[in-house]
Amino acid sequence: MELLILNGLVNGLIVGGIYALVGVSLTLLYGVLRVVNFAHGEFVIAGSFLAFVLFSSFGVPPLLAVPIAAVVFFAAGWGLYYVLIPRLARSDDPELMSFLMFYGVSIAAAALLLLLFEADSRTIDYTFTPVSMQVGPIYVSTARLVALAITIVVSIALALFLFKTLPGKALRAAIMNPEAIQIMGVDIVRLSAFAFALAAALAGVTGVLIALVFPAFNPFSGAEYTIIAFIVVVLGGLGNPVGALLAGVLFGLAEQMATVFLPQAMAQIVGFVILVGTIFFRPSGILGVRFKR
Amino acid sequence: MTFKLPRRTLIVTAAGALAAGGARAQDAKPIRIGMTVSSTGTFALAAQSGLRGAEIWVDDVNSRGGLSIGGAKRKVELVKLDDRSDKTVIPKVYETLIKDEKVDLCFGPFGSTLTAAAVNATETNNKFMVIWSASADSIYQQGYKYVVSATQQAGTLLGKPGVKFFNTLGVKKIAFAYLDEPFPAALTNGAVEEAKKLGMDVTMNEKFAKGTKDFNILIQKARATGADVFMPTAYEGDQMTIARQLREMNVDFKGIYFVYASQPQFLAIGKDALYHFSQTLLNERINWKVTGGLNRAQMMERYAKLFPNAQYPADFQTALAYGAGAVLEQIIQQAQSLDAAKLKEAALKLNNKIVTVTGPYEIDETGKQYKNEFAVMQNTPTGVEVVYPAEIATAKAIYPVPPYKDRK
Repeated sequence: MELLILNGLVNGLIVGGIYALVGVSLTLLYGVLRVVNFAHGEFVIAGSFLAFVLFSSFGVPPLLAVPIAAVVFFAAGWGLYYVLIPRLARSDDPELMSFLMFYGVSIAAAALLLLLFEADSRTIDYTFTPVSMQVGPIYVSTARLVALAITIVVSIALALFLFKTLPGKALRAAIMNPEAIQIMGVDIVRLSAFAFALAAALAGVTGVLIALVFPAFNPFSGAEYTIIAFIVVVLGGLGNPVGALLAGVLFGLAEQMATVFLPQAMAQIVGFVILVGTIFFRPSGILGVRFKR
Repeated sequence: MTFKLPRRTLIVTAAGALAAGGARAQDAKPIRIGMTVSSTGTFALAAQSGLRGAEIWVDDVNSRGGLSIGGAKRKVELVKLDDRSDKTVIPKVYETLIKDEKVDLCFGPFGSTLTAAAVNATETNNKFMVIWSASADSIYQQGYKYVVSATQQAGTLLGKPGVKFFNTLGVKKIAFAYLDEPFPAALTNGAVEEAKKLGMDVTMNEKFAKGTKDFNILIQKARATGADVFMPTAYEGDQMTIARQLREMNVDFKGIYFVYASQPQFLAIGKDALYHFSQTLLNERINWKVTGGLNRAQMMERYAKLFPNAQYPADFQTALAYGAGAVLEQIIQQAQSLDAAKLKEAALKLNNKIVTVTGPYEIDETGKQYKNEFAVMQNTPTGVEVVYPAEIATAKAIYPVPPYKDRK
């Protein structure tokens, strides 16, 4: 049992780190733009497929795919912002419209992935050497440790960006009070485009990491990550990136530890119980910072 | 709401298009076989794959001049309508096939969901139905009189070949895990039942929910039970993840059985796919001594000739449908009639007398298929080999499989 608990803790941290990244990009987008990106999971899985194509067609290893995904998705996100969001902003209820529009984008993106890659599950036939490392009495996959390291680096970089740089502070200010920041002379459209691109880049990087940690993915896998992202966002507090990071780790740990003590089929239920409990008893999220609009 | 027959979707395979066959065959009324095909929706790919198998059979029969009934050679005509993968319209479409198109008998649609909806219409109208892809046991528990699953084994029987195979290797302890969905659950329940019947110790039988992404703890639990063999059953994606995580965690069993481990997408995981056992019906290494219809190589050759532009290669759905056609041919020849009751009687008389491309044939009174067992395969360093049953085995199983630390 001790071994199972130790496994649960280590894997909970790793899986939770991935969940945190899945959630943080969604919450960033919501915080700045009030856009409910229902296609977030498809963005993430598109990152996995990019890593797959880079490796299977050009021999690019997944580690190198991480920065490539960041650049490609940032550029794609920037372009997509100007295609989708300005029209959305002119609607009567942009928040609801964004939900509906991105639901459509989600279906279209999954269909496009299906057209390009067919319905079969894909995997990247790449393994690190050694395949796994012994951490005390348990073996942990090297790919997972690498993913954890990248998650930590990305999270620290994101935190430094948000708290120590001017654009980062502007993003946080936009989350807190978008009207005031415009009065201060900040170009909100450009800042929003940057937020959209940053969220897309994070989704792309997360997709590459997912290809390392959960090796099989298909065009329909996106919906599962969208659900996880929403759980993490609600747990962390809407529009709160730091909360999302913490919530992701908490959710991952809860899910993994549940599988130790309960039948595997109950693990997901535990995650949703935590979600419902949070909504009932702490609707502003685990950090308790109430979302301000 | 009434369902309007999409006339434009009606396609008839012209029996007389192929010139082979005598003058009597051209004069005699063709045997009209009705079936529905999903042009769109969830089942479209599989349904169309199966249709190509049925068309290979029709082409083969007609190239031999047709089927002999009462001394007259009659060609076969396949009448196809679209079911759009929709179980709510399918009874009406089969009614149309029977009442408007005047088909003599029916071929089932793809899958248990659609077949269960279609069979009410065929039974009500006293028409014989050949099933080629419905594995749900419930279909055969309804008391239907005129259905025969010609090639598709029932769901609860699908997991038995693997267990029987491990029993021949002397396996005593076996752990199961399965995705909580009808197909993996039915397969695993049947496998567990078989394992207990054979005196094996079932050390674990745990289900997991759809969407589960991490199997580390499940694998550790199975290992902790002391099982010799681990049988996790799910669809390809989950199985590929489990296979990789087994190696990453350095967790060894004497044997691991994944239903889909011999499929191309599973093999794409490279070294992680090595030594795993699996099951399939169609593989270049599976070659039954066929007594009914074309053998595998001939069927594949005919597929290439008839469908040079098909988007996908022949798969096991193609083989199931082709094999069902080959069985139907023998049933009609035996019955010398197209009457549903006589066809069913003939179908029962043919038990254990036919071997098609998918294997031997045996049904019970309900029409449930007991043979056509999947062959057990193993991914070896030299390729995928058949290791069970003995009559078609191409190699001896590597068991116990080498531990991960000893693999290069």
